[in-house]
Amino acid sequence: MMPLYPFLVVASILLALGLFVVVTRRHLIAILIGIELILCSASLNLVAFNQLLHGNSTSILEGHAFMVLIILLTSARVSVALSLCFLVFRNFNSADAQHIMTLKG
Amino acid sequence: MTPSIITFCLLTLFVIGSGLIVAFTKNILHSVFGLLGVAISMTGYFLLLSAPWTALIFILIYTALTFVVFLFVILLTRRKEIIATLSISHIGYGLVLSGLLIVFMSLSLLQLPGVTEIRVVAPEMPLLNLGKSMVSPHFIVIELFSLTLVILFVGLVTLIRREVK
Repeated sequence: MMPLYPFLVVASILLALGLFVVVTRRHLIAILIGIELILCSASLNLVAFNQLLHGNSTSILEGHAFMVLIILLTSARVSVALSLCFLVFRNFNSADAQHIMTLKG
Repeated sequence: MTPSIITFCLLTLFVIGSGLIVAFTKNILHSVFGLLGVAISMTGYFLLLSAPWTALIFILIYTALTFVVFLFVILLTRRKEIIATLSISHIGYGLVLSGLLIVFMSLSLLQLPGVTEIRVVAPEMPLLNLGKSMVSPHFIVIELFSLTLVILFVGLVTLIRREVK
């Protein structure tokens, strides 16, 4: 048996680090990496709470199912966002978020 | 100190170190490697939480795909673009927001009820039950997600396609 709160502490630290990266970085890829950190903390929370609430039951794995959904969505989101980053780099000749002042291509 | 607690401590050291690399390094390539370290640690946590199939999906799909796509895009950008400094004017905002978040989460943790022990024993049939939990009650949601993703990818290919003149 392990207590739940160390997992939540780790998830909180990851969430804070991800938020810090998103706020302080200007590079588009770096901002995406910060969002990935936030999603990792969400995944850890989901699996930990599923284990807490349904640890004795092998028939209820809703937390795991939602985590798999998060993984799929994140994979798709990363592909799309990085393609858009590449498009921005090609059009603006820079990946700095401060240089993108207009949505017009 | 049980083996699971020792493993947890090692994983925590690794994940915090990797997270700090992601947060403070200037080179985007190093940030990606830090993210890889965080993802591998997450897999260890899932194994510790008796979720082996989730850990397998995480390392096979998420970690591999994310790592490869990030590296691919970095490869396509210019060499000088992989150096990204921290925005000095925003460091204060970042520290304040992260600190507020940590305080809020700490206060929330103090409100947890007393019974918060996790069983770290592997379940018997996790894969079958995972499929049932994912498909049966959320079938329409998953179908809508799939349809949206197909539309999104078609739009994406149209968007980044270079016109040949």
